[in-house]
Amino acid sequence: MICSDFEKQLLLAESGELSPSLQTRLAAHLAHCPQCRAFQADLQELSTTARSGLADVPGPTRGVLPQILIAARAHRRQQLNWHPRVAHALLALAAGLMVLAGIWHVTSLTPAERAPTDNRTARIAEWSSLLAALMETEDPANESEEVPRAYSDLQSLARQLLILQDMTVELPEDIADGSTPTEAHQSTTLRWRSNRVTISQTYG
Amino acid sequence: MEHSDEDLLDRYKSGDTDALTLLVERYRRQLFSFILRMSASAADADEIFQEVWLRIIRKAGSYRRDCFRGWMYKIAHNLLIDHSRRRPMTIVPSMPGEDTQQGFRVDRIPARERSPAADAQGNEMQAVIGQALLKLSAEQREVFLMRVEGDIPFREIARAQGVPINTALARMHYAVCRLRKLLHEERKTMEE
Ligand SMILES: [Zn+2]
Repeated sequence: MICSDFEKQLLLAESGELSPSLQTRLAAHLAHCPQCRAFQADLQELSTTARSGLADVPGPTRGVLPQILIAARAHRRQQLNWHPRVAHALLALAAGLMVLAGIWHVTSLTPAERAPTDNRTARIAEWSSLLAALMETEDPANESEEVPRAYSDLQSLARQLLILQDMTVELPEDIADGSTPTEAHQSTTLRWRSNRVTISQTYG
Repeated sequence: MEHSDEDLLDRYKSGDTDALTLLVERYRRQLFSFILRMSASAADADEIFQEVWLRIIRKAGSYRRDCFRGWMYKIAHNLLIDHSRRRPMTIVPSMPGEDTQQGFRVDRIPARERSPAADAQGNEMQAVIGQALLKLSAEQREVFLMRVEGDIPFREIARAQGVPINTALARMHYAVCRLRKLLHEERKTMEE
């Protein structure tokens, strides 16, 4: 065995995965090998330094943890099995709600500040947990091809809604200035990336 | 007495949502640090962190393993790979001799954007290690972080990465050798 083999054994010993007999052999090697002892010392220093750095790591953005807990509670509540077709209908509903939620949310806020506990935010939270529950439903594997696709859409919508409370919504000018969407809008697209949603409209 | 991860997960499975809160709190920094160092930005890290827990919530019922931490990191590993596939990235060719067997592309973007954690670190040596980690391949960095910050045994790291244990061990060995070298160079510069 060469030193690099012993160094790998040192790694295993450090993680508690080296057998006692190999530990004995390793100890014997370390006793007369300064290179391997230096490796051991450096490994120790690297580990200590890296671990102590963890204390300075900022956690996830405020808002992420509450969303996880909302999802957890919703999951507990959701013991009933949603029928795929019900989910399908709710998908359409959710899409509508999301657009409205986004519009209400953004028009209710001045750019500088957001009211954290207004009614609209509370309703968005309600929808979030509804959709969190939906998101937990299993894919109906035996259904036709269309249904799983609707499910994946549903899941991505739910995901979007889950972080809605903490996000920036970008709207096309005519909506941002306060007018409501009309039937002239042929379709609404939501583009979502992390804490930013872009809503765009196509006109008929 | 502190409850084990597995106890907390069992309690959550039998309806105690507070047990999950404790688990999330326990791994808040450690898991987030891992995801942050492996992903493109803090916003991505938030998204992936949240998705890890949503997946844990969803799969808790069918969880049968003995090492929760290993399972949690495996989920994070899978999501990081999914994420890097979904998102178009700036691709930088791998360095010669680098281990690219399972290359994910998360790390192939400019270092400036990648290391908010390292920037925030006051301690100089921590910052040096943080920067040095970015010079490793994603697989090597991942093994190092799982092992050192996550305290995950090699058996579980290998499982998470889907490789034999000797591959995980070789990645860690390479990472430590590389970091040692950089550490020594840094120490020399500081002495001069
Ligand atoms: Zn030696």
